[in-house]
Amino acid sequence: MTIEHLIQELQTRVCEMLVLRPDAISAQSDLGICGLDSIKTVLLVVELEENYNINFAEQDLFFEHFNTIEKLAKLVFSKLMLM
Amino acid sequence: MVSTKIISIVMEEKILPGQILEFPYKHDEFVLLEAMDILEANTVNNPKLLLHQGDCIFVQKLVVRNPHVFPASVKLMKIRSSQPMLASGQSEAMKGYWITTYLNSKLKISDMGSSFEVMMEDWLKKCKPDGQTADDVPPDRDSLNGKMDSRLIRVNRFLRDNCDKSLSLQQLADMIQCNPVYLCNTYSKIFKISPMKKLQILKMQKAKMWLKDTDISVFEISHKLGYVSSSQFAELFKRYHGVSPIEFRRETRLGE
Repeated sequence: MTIEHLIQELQTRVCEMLVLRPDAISAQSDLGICGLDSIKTVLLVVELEENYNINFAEQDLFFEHFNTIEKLAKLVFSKLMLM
Repeated sequence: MVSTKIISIVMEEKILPGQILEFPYKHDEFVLLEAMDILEANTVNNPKLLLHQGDCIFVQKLVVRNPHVFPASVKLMKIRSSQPMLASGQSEAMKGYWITTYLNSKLKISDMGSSFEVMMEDWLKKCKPDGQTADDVPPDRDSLNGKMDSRLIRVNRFLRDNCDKSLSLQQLADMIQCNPVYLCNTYSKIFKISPMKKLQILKMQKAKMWLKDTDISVFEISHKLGYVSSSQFAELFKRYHGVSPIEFRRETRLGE
C-alpha cells in the first residue's frame, strides 16, 4: 500500500464519519474545523487500530497528530512499515 | 441614532435533503442563521463555507444547502437596521460577516430576547465599512490540542488482544481504574455498543477465523473462547453468522 492510497482510504472514511461529501476535504484540511471532535477522534483511533491491526503509542495520542488526513496517513503508514 | 429591529424569528426551519434555501434580503435587512446541523453555505465573501452545528452567521445574502440524506434544521432571525452604513448601500464589506466571533458562540437565537436588539446595535456601531470580512475573520472554533484520554482506546485494545479469554467488566474497569458502571455507560455512549457485546463480536470473529484457517474442533474453539458449552457457542455463532459453526466450516472448505 502506498501513502497516496492510504490518504485516499482515510479521506473516504473520515468524510463518511463526518457526513461530508467524499471530496469535501483535502489531505491538508483542518479536521477539527470540519467537525472532528474529541469523541470522533477516539472513535477514529480505535477504528484505525482495528482495521490496520496497529497500536498507536501513548506519545502519538495527541489531537494535533490527528487533525489532518496527511498527518494521520503518515502516522498510520509509519506503523504499517514497522510490521 | 441606530435602530435595530427584529422582524421575525423562526425557531425551526427544516431543509430537506439536497434542498437549497436562499435569503435575498433587502438592503436594510439581514438574516442571523444558526445551524442545527452541518450545512453548506454560500455567501458573497465565502462561496464554500461549511457551517457546523451551533454556528451562527449574520449576512445579507445567503444560500444554504443541506448535503445530508436526512432533513436538517436552522434557526432564523430576520433583522432590520437603520444603521446608515448598512442601509445606504455602503455595506459591501459587511456582507458575509462572520458573527460567531462577536457572539462568542454563547448567545444563541433560542436565548435571545429584547436584549439582543441592544447588543446588535452595539455591534453594528463597532462595525466599520472597511471592516473585516468572513475570509479575514477566523471562525470561533479552536482546533483540538493536547493529549487524548486514552482509557477507552486501551480498553478496546485489551478486548482485541484478549478476546479469547473470559473477561469481566470488573477486569476492564480495574485496568483503567474506574467504576464498571461508569465504564459501561461511557463506552456504550461513545461506541454505541457495550464493552461486553463488543467482546462477544470479537469472539465470534475469532471463531470464524479459527474455523476457516485451522482444524481445531468446534468443541475446542468454544472452550478456548471461554464458553461453558459448545451448544451455547454454536447457538451464538449461528445468531451472528447465520449458519452453525460446522456448516460454516463445511461451506468455506467446499469453496476453496
